[in-house]
Amino acid sequence: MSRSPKTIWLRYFTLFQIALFASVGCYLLWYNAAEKSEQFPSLREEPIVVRPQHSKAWQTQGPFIVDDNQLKRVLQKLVLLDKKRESNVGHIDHAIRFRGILEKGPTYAVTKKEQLYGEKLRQLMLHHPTFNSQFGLGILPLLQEGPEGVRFRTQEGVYTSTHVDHTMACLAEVGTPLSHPIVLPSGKELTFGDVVLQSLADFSLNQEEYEWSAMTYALFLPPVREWKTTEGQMVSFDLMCQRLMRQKMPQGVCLGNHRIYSLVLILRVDEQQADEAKIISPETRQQVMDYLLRQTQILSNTQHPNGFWNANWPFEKPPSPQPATEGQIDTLGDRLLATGHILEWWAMAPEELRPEPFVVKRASQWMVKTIDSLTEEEVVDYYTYLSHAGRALALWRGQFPEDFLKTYDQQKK
Amino acid sequence: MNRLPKHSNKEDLSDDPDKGSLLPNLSYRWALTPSQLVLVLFFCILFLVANYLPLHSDSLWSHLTYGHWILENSTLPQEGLALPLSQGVASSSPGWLAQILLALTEKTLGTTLLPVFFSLLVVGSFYLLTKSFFHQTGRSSTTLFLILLLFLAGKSAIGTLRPEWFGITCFAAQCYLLSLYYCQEKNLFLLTPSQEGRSTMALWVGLPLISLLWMNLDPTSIFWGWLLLVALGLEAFFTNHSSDLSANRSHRRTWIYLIELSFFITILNPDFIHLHFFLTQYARENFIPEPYLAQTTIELFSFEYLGFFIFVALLGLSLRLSKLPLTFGRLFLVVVALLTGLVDSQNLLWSSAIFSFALAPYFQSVVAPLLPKRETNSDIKALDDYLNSEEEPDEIPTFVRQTRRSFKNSLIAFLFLWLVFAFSTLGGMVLGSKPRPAYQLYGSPALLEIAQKIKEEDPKGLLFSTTLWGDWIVYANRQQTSLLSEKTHNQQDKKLELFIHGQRGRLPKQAQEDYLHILAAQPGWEALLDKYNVQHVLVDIQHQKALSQQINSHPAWERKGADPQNLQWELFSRRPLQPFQITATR
Repeated sequence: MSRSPKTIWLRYFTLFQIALFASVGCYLLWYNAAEKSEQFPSLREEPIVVRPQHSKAWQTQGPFIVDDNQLKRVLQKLVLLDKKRESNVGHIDHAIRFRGILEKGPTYAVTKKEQLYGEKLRQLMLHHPTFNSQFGLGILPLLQEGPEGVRFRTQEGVYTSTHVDHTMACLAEVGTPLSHPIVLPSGKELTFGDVVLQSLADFSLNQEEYEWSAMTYALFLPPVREWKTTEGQMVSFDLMCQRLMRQKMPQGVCLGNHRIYSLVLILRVDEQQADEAKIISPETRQQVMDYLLRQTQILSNTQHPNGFWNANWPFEKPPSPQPATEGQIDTLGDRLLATGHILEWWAMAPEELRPEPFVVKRASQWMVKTIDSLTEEEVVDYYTYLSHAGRALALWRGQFPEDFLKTYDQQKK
Repeated sequence: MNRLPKHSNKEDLSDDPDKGSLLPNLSYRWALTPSQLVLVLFFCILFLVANYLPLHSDSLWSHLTYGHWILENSTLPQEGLALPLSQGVASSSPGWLAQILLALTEKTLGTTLLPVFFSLLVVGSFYLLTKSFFHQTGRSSTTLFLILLLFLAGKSAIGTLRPEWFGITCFAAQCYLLSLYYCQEKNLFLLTPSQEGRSTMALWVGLPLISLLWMNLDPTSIFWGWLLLVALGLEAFFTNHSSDLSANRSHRRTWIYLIELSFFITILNPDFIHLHFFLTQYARENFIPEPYLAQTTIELFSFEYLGFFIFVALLGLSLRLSKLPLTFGRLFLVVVALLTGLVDSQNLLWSSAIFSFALAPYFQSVVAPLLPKRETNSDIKALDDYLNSEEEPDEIPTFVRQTRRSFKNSLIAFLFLWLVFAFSTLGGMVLGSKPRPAYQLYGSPALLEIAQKIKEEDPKGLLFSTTLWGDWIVYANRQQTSLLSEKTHNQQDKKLELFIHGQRGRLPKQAQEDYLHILAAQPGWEALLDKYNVQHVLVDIQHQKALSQQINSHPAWERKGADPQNLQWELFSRRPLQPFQITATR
């Protein structure tokens, strides 16, 4: 039986509509997938390790910054062993970054229950049952589940992270891989990669604290150079550098030093990439170099003859060798904060950004002398600042603190 | 009774001057009814009002700047112009064609004639809507009533001359085109060749063309552009226009093809999918309404909304009283129009226009018994024949006695048109009257003062101001403004940059939130200005009293100038950062 032309027409019409809608549907699916992939870039399993640069030119001068005994003394002193005062999250993530992750190591933090070292401290941050058992019930959980993964609770008391993405960046800097397990308060098991993903989902180029986000992305994203934020903004490392240089000094966390440190880290990561995988453009690299060189020049001019800087480092030399009392500018805390951070970023910076050697030596010697004079209680008070100083002194030897301690002990044996 | 002069013999008339000196040589088609006269008067007033409105809008100036930039560079911008904080934000160019048209108009005719261009858009839109109502009602008196009601309900939109008018014009053109295919007997828009032999070619060419133009002219096409087509598609789908099943099927298929054609032709857009994404997802998720611009938002229980409610009540009542069946498509339109009107006062004109377009036949069917008999084309022809015939009939035909057409009305209408021309900016230029003062053209002397001050001070770096003033500065101080983001960090090498202007939807959400935070001088506003390294702040004293007070007494900011009365604006610049001003956190 032959079909009427109208029936054939109807069949073609239906087929055409199906084909049309299927094509549109496929295209939209592809488009959405492309959008999604743009939003969350692929991450490296292991973060990039950026080691301190200890050039031959500086090596020829020997361990002129501080000698082995001074460094050993400093590292032994900078621990959180005041039994009366429990370490908090700010202490612990600084301690992890300062001393690195060791399977077994010296105790350098305490909680109500235990004296802790590297791996145990990392577990405290990433394993909620451990966190709960160490700090006790009734404390807000540090780990918060988010729509894309998990984030560290921030600035809601001493048992939360001190700055946005600070804990994440500390863990990234000591080499925590994406696959490192995390256990949430609900018992759900995730990985450290979910922390980085959540951070990417939360990130805005204009958020108030962004220094540690920038650091983490520089360690996990390359060779990816740009990604899309949930605000719809394509953020590249070039743009990130512009953002880090946007504000006047000393605005930003820790007198602007974390902005500088993040810039240095991006420069160093960029150096480590092959030519075709550079994460910043040559123009941006030059701008960052110029910018950091200006900071070095300023710092060389504003260093106190005794070797330290204070909160007014972009403007003037500290007026007096004696620190001011609490509540004023130029307290001991200001000096430790400024000088420790400055020594740290210089230690990681490319050689052409470093000051004259005597500037570093003067600062380092002041730092050792000051740490020697601190009481155990003051060490706990200033621990977060001092952790940068202690790390910096080791970095200037071309080593991380834990590497130095290992080699030092071996040499002694 | 209307006594029409009878044109019996032209030669006789010339011989006898007492025999009626103004006998018509034209067809009575050119003689206007009183309703038509009022319509002409309405359009004249509308044109003049639009012509004399100041060029005031929250985005007009940035659109013009974009237009000029596109013309100069022969390409669409890849980032938000003069908006460094939007760097990296997916840049779509909704309205690029409107921006070019505006810039071309300004370039060729000058800024003073921009209002005329807008007036033509406004009047053109209302004219097309009038025609679409007339095609559905067949009566100029009903049309007049509907258009006046529409004006009353949507007049708030007329107060702002914005590029959205391109979209409204496209919508009106869509209505007009569809109304040509309205079948009164079936109360349906038929896509089959009409009994009068009218081809559907106009619809096949016109609708896709309007869609294409609209998509490139104004982003309103994303919603309003498809609304009418979808509604009429639904109507065709759910309503049988014929007892013949296959004819109905064919009609439905045709509608579907037409809608698909109208949709897919919009792919001919520089940024098709991205534009859809930008407007439907990015803009929805990231755009934060600005309370400062609340002057354009109307409270639900206000006089402005009263017109809309009257409009809805009257037409709703006609829907109830009418015997015409309510089709699915029209019901859809009515519901959408009502909801969109209630949700946002900025939609009032759109909603009212859709409402009246959808319900015009119902309203007509209710008021029809109250109106005199409709004059048809054959009536007018008979009238012409009667007046031109040499024979005197025994009795004057009824249609001659009842007609309300009069050439007097036409003459009065002509007089109105002349007056409109004479009083318009264009007429003023032709007839040599004084040009409109700049402060009237721009709506506020403050704008001119600000532009002058910025010219004098030549500020570098980022300037914080309200959206309205940012929008003005990007236009008025274009030469001093950095349109594309600069790479330098040396303030001396920088040009002026703007925190925000009329294209504020391109800003990342955080920046929009911070903008509102600073605007309201909420605690921490100084730190936010630091965060963005804002170098200059232009304060609207009237609307930002708190910010004005606080920044005046802040040591980091120096007052650089203000308007002569110190009532409208003041400009502040950042003092060099001093050691005692440290705001760093640890």
